[in-house]
Amino acid sequence: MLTFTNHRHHGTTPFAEYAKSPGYSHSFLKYQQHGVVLFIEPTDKMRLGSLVDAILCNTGADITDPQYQIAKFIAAYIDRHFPWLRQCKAQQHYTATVSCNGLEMPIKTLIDFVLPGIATVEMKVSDCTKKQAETMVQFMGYDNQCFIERSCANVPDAYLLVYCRKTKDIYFTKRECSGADMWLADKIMMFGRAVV
Amino acid sequence: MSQQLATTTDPIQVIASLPAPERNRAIGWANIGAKLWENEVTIANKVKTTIDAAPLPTDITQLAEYDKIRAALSKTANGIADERTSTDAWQKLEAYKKRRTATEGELKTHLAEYDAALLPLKQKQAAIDKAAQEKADALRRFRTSATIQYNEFVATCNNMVANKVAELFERAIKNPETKSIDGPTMDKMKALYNVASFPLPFDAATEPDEEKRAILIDVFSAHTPEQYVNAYHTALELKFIDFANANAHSVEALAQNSYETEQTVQQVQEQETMSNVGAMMAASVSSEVEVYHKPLKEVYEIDMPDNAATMVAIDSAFIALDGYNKMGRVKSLWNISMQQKAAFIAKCKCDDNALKVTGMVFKMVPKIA
Repeated sequence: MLTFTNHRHHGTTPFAEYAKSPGYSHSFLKYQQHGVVLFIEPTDKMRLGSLVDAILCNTGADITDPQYQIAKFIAAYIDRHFPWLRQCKAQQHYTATVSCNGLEMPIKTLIDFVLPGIATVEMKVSDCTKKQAETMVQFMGYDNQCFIERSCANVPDAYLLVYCRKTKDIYFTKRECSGADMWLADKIMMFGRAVV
Repeated sequence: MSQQLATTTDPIQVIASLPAPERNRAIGWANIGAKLWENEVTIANKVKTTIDAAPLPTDITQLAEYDKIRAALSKTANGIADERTSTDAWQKLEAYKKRRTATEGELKTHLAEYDAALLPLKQKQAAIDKAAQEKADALRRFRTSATIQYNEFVATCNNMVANKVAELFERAIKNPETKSIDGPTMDKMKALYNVASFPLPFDAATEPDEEKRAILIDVFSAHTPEQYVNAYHTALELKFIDFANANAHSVEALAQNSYETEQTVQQVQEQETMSNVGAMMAASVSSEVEVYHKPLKEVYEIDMPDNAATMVAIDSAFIALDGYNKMGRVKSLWNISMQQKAAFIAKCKCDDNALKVTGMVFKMVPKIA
């Protein structure tokens, strides 16, 4: 149903630069209402997740942030249990064009970790327990994000790593992303342009 | 118990219409009710009379009289409950309540006995589940190890191809008699490698364990020697396509050959590393053996002797954990018992496995969830 073409790899890209680059991101497609994304004040939880990302991906975490020590602990825990993450490429910017039923839409993604040709890894920090993790993943629609990342990076597998704060545990799964293509097709209907 | 439908609402007639055992029981209850009522009225009257006889003191000159009235009031107040509880009717009511709660209590007793019988079964199953999980984990590790071994084998095959092509090229360049590479020569070079040149490093059938054997067969089933033979032929054709030109610039050609081989070997190594990381990634996926029953939950309890030192340790830990503020629903802080404090500390330990409380000794107790 969906076809991905024009795959391009832009290498490691700082978030600020990525945000200005062309293409529809998963974040925009998820939160937009009538084509507009309202400004959301970053919460403590969102900032914590960003800090952990920045420490592991080495993109410059703010050491003065009150949550820095907590983020550091989480990053160290993940690194200890998943040492192979260091072999992956961090913060990789990919773009592609996705087509469906005569419409196409440019998409972009900034992937936490990529093993070129093999898989992508998306990292999340959550307050849930490990047992609640799958329910949380389904509720938040993370499969859609994994689907876009896997498709843009043109790899067969997408993994999701969730650090569960309540149980201080990690929920690591391979995502089949069933249903994500329907979600993306719906967005193409909204924002796609006709293929000439 | 069969009951005739009453055609009247008059309670006397309803009771009279009942069969003998029920009628006697109803009459018995009616008598108890009447006596309770009689006692209630008597006591209510006594209370009213006593209160009326003891108006609130107002006159400072009547203190001695007030003391006498207070003494009588206090005596009546302290003894009034006995006037209720000592009656036959009340004692029969209490006996009835006791009998009812004892019957209901049998359920709780049976539940406790049920749990006591269920616990060893669940513990046995937990041991089986744990063994199954360990076996699944071992097989997963074995698969990872087999995949890494396969990746190493793939790298070996690819390096064989690259090195053979480089070797043939170098030999041809260094041989002054070789001016060109014709069809038969190329065919001879191609024939140096065939499918038999890329055999699997071992025979999976020699693995005694059935499940491990299946994994080995599955992992190494991806091996197709034809792909290496094809890659070898393609690499040869590409390498020798410009042989005449390379021969004319033999020094540069040899240097280029070394460089290309080095690059190829490096790429093969990188691909092997990436594939190994992919194998470790797949092995890291959270997978737990499915259990078909509610597993036991393991809770921490304080395991310390009943002595003063323990009480002091519990008090200290309770305060350190800010128990008075974090304990939750308590009717009154005055009434918090040592058991409640101990339960709070144990709950903190259950919530955070890593919690270390100075002076506290915990034990893990399996409980039915």
